[in-house]
Amino acid sequence: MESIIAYWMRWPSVEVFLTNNTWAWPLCEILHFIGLILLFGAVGSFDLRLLGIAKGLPLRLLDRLVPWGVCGFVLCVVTGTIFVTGIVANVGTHPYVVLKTNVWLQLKLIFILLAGLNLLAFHLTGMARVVRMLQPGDDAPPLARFIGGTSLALWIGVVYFGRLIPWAL
Amino acid sequence: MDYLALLQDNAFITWVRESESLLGYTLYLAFHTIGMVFLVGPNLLIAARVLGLAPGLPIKPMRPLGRIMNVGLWITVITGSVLFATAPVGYVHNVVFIVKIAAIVLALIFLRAALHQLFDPSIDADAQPVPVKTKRLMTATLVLWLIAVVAGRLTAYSGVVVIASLGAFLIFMTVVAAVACLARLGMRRKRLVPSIDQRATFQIDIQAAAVKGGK
Repeated sequence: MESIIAYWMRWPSVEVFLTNNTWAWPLCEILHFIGLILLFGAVGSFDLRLLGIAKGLPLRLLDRLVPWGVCGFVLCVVTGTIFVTGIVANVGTHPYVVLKTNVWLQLKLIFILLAGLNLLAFHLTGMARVVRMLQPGDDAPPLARFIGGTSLALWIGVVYFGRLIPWAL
Repeated sequence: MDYLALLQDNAFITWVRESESLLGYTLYLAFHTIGMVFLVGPNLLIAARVLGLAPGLPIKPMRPLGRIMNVGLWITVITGSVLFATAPVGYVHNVVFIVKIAAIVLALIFLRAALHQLFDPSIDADAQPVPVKTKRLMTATLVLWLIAVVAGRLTAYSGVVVIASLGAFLIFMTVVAAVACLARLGMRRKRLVPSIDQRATFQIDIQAAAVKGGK
């Protein structure tokens, strides 16, 4: 099983691409950051509104900006996958070894998973439907506020752990 | 440049640079990014409204986001100052870093001017279209943030890699802009030219009206 994961995680084509094109790694870094800003602009603002900041904004309309956040997340996932699968080109360590030994990468992935579960809880508990009906100035229900606060904290954690990953390579 | 060397050799800065503690260099680096997303993230939301991407959003209630952006700005400035102090001599000779700082300063000036116009208590921004000047200021702010982010990432690189990465980024952005323009044109055309079904309905309506008129 271990050897299958190790085989699947290392993409020689990505390594060759990154080795032959010195611009590819910095470009991915730039796009990773842009993705992060898009994610925070849309999802972070939605979370802040759930927490009661800028209460005059209708959540129904903020919800429409979430696709921008999804675009940002996709950009982060694609560039992040390039970083991991082609990491041999940068530091000479097998991605599976990095995944097994880099505690910050592990924590980042766990926090992304938790953020996903948190989003799932937002929909499964019916909070997504409830907050869409709120009028400007209305407070979000306590459960929605809790989910919004958790989401914000988890995404801050993702950024924090993400910045620490290179220091443990 | 003696004062820069003095700054670099300061006991606290030396500890930040050389310590492996989580309270050392990495803390400032991570919070520099966190500050940036809290500064630029809400700015994107306000820009989306100003530039017509989120037309229904009211402008006035966005004012509290300014406080969040202020917090993000202070986190970025404080952590950025500490990071700069860890290698000031290198940074002041780095053209990419100077471009980054210039872009940030200009972005803050334009952003301040745009927010001042939007949240002016004597004007009801929601009752009238956003002035062209405000739209221009907001567009300039977004472009400058983009330059700051790109330069910020490229500060760690030098020479040919910077130029090649910049070229690759410009090509990427051109492709994205072209796709966005084509998609917009396609949507506009779809709105202007009625589909075959719509045309068929239109003809049926005309025929029905003619029959009615004949009576």
